[in-house]
Amino acid sequence: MSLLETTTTALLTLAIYSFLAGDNPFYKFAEHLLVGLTIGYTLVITLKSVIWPQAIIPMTRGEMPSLVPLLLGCLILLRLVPRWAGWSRISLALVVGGGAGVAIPAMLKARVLDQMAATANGVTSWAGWIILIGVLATLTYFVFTRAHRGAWGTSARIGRYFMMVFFGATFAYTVMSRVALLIGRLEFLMGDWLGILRS
Amino acid sequence: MGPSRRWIFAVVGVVAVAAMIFRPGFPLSVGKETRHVFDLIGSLDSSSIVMISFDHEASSLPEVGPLGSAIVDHCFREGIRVVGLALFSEGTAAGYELINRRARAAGKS
Amino acid sequence: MRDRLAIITATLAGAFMALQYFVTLPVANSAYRAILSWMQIIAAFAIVVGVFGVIRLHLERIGRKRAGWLYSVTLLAGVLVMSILGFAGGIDRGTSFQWIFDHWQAPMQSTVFSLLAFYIASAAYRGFRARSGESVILVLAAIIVMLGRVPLGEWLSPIVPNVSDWILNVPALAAKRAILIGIGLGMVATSLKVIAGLERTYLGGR
Repeated sequence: MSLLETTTTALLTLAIYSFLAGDNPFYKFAEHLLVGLTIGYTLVITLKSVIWPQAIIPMTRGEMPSLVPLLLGCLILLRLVPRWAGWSRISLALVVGGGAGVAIPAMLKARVLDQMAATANGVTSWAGWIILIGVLATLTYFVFTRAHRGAWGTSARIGRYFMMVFFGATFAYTVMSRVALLIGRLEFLMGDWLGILRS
Repeated sequence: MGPSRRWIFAVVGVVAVAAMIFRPGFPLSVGKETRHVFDLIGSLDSSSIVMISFDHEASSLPEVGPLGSAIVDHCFREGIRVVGLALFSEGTAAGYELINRRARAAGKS
Repeated sequence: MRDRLAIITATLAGAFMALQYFVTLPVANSAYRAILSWMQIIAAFAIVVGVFGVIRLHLERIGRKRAGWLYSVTLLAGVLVMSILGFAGGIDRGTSFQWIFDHWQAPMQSTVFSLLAFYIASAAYRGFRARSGESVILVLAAIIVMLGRVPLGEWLSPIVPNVSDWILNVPALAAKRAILIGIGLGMVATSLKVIAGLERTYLGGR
């Protein structure tokens, strides 16, 4: 990378970090530039890697079934015309309905049955029993049709403690991933740009 | 924004910069999960193909990139072919770039 | 009439996609894959609609010289530059499109997300001060897991990584499983409502 290249990157990076001192025009400029570039990028990739190869090319080859998604896609484009925007709902209904249909067996298996099986099969160890208790206690917390009182309330409270451990662990991973990003940017600023880091 | 918040920002920044300049040398050891992945790839025969999914945006490259490089490098060392895929539009570019870069470094392209 | 057509489409598509899971007929399988690819294409068109929506909004801001309209010019310039470079020059390695992605877009995105390292530190500080049984558990779990994942933890004591692993593999896993089961059941219930035509918020309005 040439110095000119790294300098443009470094200035944009610093413009974004300037937000730490408060909102300012440099940050706003970088933010809008980023949003613009990302929108342009997404548009190009969507057209070039989905719409063109999957809808347009099959149509030019005369493959009749490919007309269906193209037509449905054009219905979605009618959103841009207020008078006809309602027609886009038909395409939307296919995506929402189809997605719901795909979700039922997939969610039931991966998120419900497999999780229950793993929990039930794990009770061959102490840890497995703790997991079973934790799963049941947390589930009772999410039952809102019953007042959290008495034994039920105790179970829900234990469930909350388990959830706090989970949120703590998730928080820890978030912190570490964000700090990793910070280190990545600092490595660029101090190493690639200023050259003051020993490698 | 209160002054205490600015102090916290300053502390985070100074600690991160100082750690990079002075490089405190803590012993690095290989974790269980890492060893597991390493051994798993090592146990494959050379006709195997490893499929790696780069399901992340460009924003997490500094975090996920090194992990991807380590796995791709290990595959190339073992002579195993690699297939990359991504469900994120930016992951496509990031994964493609990463595999190509590591392949060039390993003299495979 | 139009809305009824939409609801019928959702019901038929949903029922077919769900039932196909239990059917081994090759015809059903290829229809399933065709509909999945249609959904992908429709979603791609929806992205195009979204992009044009944003462009229209910012053109309006520029046209009316609203506060910060110059930033809208920056945004549109970004869209324009990427689109021209991408469509005219290609998107492969070595193109200007890829150069901007590598040198501007990706580093800026990663910088924006790294800003959170600062904000999360100040949030943690406030979390420390709010002392309740639950927040203590949260903060303790967070500290142990963090220490267990960095060399410092092992340097302090070899027990730290083990405790961290235990937290992740036992109590955190238990809560995560229960939450997954809850989300799964919720999604199945919502999906059934969509297919039965009871859930119509995707039609807009109501």
